[in-house]
Amino acid sequence: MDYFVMKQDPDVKTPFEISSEMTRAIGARRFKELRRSKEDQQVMFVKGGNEYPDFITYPFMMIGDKLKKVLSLYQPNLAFKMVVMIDHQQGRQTVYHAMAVPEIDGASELTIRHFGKIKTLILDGDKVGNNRIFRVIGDNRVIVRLDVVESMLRRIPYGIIFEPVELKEKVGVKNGK
Amino acid sequence: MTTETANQAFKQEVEKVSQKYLTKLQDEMIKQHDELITQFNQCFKQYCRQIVTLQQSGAKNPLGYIQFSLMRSKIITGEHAFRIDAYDQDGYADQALCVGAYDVTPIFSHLDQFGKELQERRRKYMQKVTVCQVKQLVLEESDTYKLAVTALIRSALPKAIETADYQKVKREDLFVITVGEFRDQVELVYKEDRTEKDVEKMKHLLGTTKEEGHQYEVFDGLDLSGGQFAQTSWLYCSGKNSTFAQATLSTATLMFCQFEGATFKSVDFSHSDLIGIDFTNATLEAVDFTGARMLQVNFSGATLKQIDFTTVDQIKAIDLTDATLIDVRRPDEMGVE
Repeated sequence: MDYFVMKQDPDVKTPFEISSEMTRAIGARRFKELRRSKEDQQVMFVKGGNEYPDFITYPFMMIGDKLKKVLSLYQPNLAFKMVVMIDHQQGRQTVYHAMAVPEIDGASELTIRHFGKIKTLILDGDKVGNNRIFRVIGDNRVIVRLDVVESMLRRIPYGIIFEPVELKEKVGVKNGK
Repeated sequence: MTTETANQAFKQEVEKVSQKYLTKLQDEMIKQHDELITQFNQCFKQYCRQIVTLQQSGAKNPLGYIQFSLMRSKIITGEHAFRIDAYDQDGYADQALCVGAYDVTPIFSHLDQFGKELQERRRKYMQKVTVCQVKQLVLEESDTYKLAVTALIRSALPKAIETADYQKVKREDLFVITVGEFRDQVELVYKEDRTEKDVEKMKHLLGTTKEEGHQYEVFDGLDLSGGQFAQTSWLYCSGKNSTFAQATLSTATLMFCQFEGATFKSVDFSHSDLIGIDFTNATLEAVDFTGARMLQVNFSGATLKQIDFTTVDQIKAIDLTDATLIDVRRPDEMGVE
């Protein structure tokens, strides 16, 4: 099966902005801190922009409400925390879910590294196994398997693109490709 | 102009553009029908060869499913190919992949143009209608184009399965070909069913009325005499060489069913709809067609006895080539000998 990197579409030109005081106030620049908080949900005040992409990476990784349901079905060990974006000026409220993606050792020995950082990622089908949504250790890109990608695209997401990742095929599985 | 009014104005434009390209697609599909079918047959043949090679090396079990799937991940990159997968009777659990591609550019190029035109029209609304919104519309629209491909594959398959390459493919007794989403909802376009069937169970099954009707049921060579099938609807069913004596099919809807060499004796078809039914070499005796609507019914080579077609409600495009007519009354529309 093929794998893809999930990214925010560069065509998203006018995304909402998180007001900086707010970010500081909840002290949630890091997802870890957010997870530790006891409340069920967090509120963030935002301003400007009319685009709410279904995948954002700043200040931490968040996913749109309709995609959260799909992702949690495919990869049960994803951790979520609800974040509500409130725009007072426009009177708009949008639900997001902060997401922690499991890290696995999925890179093959063919992966090209530059001073330890991954430059060109080549996945190892055997090491990845049955993981459908994951990150490779030392790399913060989210990788999604083809069936999940299709499932997400069926829900017509906003502002997400998928770029194919190279894969070293599984050994021992006969492939007629 | 506020965002709301902009969106509303754009929505109206989208409908117009969508209609424009769908009409174009329809015209083209009718015009290029033969070429499209030939192209599919070639692709299918090649894929069958790929399976046969795998099966001969022992890497693939007999097939239970062949699935054509629309790949949205391809659409967003502008490529237009359906993925073909073959699975054994375990379905998606089958680890031995056999991936093929069916190029659908002639159909999906219209979707491309739809997207391009919308991106052009979007500009005058500035950032009120965004690029990504149009991308979403293209994804939504792809559903309709998928249906076009489904229809095409359905009409191409009867010829495609006659090839020697397909016959060489080892298949289970129950084998289906589907078109639809990748590892998700699919639509049946072909079914082979050689499993042994119980006559009583089949009678009961076909007799129940379901909203979506009975699709692709196979009851070849079964004796379904005395069956009560009133008000049922049968789609793409196959009842070759089966027997229906004293059966009731009144107010039923039969579409594109195969009754080659079947026998109908004193069957009640009153007030039923018969569309695209194949009665080739069948025998029909004392069948009641009162108030029925018949369209594209093929009686070629059939034997018709004691049938009164003058009481039929609507009758159109009936094929009576080489049919033997004994004591049959026909209205003028059916042509007089």
